[in-house]
Amino acid sequence: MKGRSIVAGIVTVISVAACSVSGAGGAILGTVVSPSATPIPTTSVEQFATASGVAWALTDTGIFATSAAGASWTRITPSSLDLSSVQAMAVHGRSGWVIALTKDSTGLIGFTTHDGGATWTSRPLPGSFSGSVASVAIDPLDESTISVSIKLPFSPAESLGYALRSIDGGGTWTAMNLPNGEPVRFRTALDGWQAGGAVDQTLSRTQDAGATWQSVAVAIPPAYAGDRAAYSNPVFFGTSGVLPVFLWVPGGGPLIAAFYTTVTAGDRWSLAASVEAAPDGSSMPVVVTGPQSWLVDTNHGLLATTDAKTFSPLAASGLDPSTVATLHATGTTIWAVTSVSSCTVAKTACTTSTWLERSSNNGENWAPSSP
Amino acid sequence: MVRHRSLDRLVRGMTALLAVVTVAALSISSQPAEAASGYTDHQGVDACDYPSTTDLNALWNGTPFWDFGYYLGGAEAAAVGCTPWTSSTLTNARTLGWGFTPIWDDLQAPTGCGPIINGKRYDFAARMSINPTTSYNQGVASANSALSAMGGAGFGPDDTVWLDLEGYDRTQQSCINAVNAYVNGWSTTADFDAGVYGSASASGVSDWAHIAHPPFAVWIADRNINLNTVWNDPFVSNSYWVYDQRMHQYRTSQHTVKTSMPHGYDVDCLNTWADQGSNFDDETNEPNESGSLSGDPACDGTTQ
Repeated sequence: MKGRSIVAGIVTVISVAACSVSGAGGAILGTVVSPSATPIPTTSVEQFATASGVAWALTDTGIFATSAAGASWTRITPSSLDLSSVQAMAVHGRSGWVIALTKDSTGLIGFTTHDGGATWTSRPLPGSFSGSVASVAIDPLDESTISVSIKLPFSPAESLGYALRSIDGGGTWTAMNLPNGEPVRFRTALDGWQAGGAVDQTLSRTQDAGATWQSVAVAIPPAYAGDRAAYSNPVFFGTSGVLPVFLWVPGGGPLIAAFYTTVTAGDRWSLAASVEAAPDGSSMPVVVTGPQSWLVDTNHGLLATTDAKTFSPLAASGLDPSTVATLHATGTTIWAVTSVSSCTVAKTACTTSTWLERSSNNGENWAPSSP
Repeated sequence: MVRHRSLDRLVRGMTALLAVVTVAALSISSQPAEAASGYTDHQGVDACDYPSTTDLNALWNGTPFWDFGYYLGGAEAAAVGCTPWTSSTLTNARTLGWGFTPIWDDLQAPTGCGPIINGKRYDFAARMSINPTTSYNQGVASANSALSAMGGAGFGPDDTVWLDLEGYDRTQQSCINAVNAYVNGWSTTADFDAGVYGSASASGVSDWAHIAHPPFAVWIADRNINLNTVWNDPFVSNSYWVYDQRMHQYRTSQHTVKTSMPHGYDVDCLNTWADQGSNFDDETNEPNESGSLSGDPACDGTTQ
């Protein structure tokens, strides 16, 4: 009989760039706004995004960009941006987007660059929010088509929201209905997916650019039929795709990461492999680097597969698996956002240190990314 | 203003003392260990996701948060999947030091009164009647169910249970009347244990100061405004709920500390009475005035 532990799904810590292998080409950042090669502070990586061979990091001192090599970082912060108001950011080649709250927290402002952060334009996004927003996520299909998911501020028992879409790189936006407030990911301009919900999770698909959504059923293995399922957004490589699904029982039992695959653009999914985490309720970050190449952090070690079937331990030299909060990939580069928090006994002082680790050999060796 | 602090605190203090003595004298093996109720001026978290033991440890040891708002039950909680904690989870959390602000997520705004999102109305899974008399009685029933669940979970008679009342369509007076009658039924029945959570604007928190039986305390959800204080919300006058009767939820979906909870946790400031964890000690419960998230800032602010 399988063991059990308490681990809720890892949907939000699965960060994979849908376009991570599609024509990345190692985009070169353009003219910089501020002096180059500014070291990223190693204690405050608050957001991270990577795609097409470029990585961006938001820290408490600015937004920084690097190539996949990660040798140096360049400050690209928009001059009028209040860093504390940033809700989301995304990058795709030389284009990038930052979504921030207005000063009164009742609206959103979109910052857009199409030259690697050298110059920015900003404009208000449509819509207003009487109680601010709960969270925002950006899904860039390419440099023109961007979807912004907006989760509205209800209690954590609810997930309500909608999306904005731009087909001109962030110049103009139109509203789109969503099944819930969680992030969307589009495979094509018409074919999109949304995983998640408040607690009981759903997987939904649109094939008409968000005009209508249909629930997608995935066959859960009989041994876990009674489990709670947390879906993540699928990652596509053309018509091939990978759908990580996390299964668990609240209050007990280990987390199961089940990987479903498709070769029909998501019309049919079949279970390919699964991984059981250590029974201590640890989170389990996952990254999909290819149709058959996935990496899982079990909190006690990294496991990897290259055949979509068998997972093997990685040495993961230089990386403490227990500190990994999220994993990201672009091309052959894998990034880990790591985090350690601690307080004094009486909680008079608490600190959280976050930093980036980078691997250029599929997770075997890791090194801090900052100079 | 709502209620009188000196009398309330005296009554609550005596009740809390009795609760402590009672728990010390009795061994109730089927229930999680009960801690003292006490005044808290700390920060806390709340979440619908069920935390693992690792999560509880990570949040306790790595954050300035002292109190955990978890979903005790209710029809909406059951419909959306907010699972009540087991007694062992409660005991583990209490042993670590966590205090609790248990949430009762029951009936929401009536059919046709749900929020309108992008032009489309959303009706919650569990809904009260549009008839105020009926919704009042439903509020009474909610309170009775919540108080029963509180006892079953090992909470004392002085512990506040918080009704979750989500934002709704306040352009219709019939919706407002139904919701306020429901809250009135809740508060009348739960009395000094009656807390109500709601969006400062979209749930109409200020309305509840004017109903026949206002809730004893309010948990004001207003993100990114006046952090680290329960005061100065633009939608809730400082003249309401003035005597240690407030909480403020000011951040949502936080992931600063690594947890297995997919939606992270919300962050709250507490200036109220709450069940306290095993480490609760009046001597160490003095607020830290640092005013920084790096420590444990006072939530009482400076306005009162």
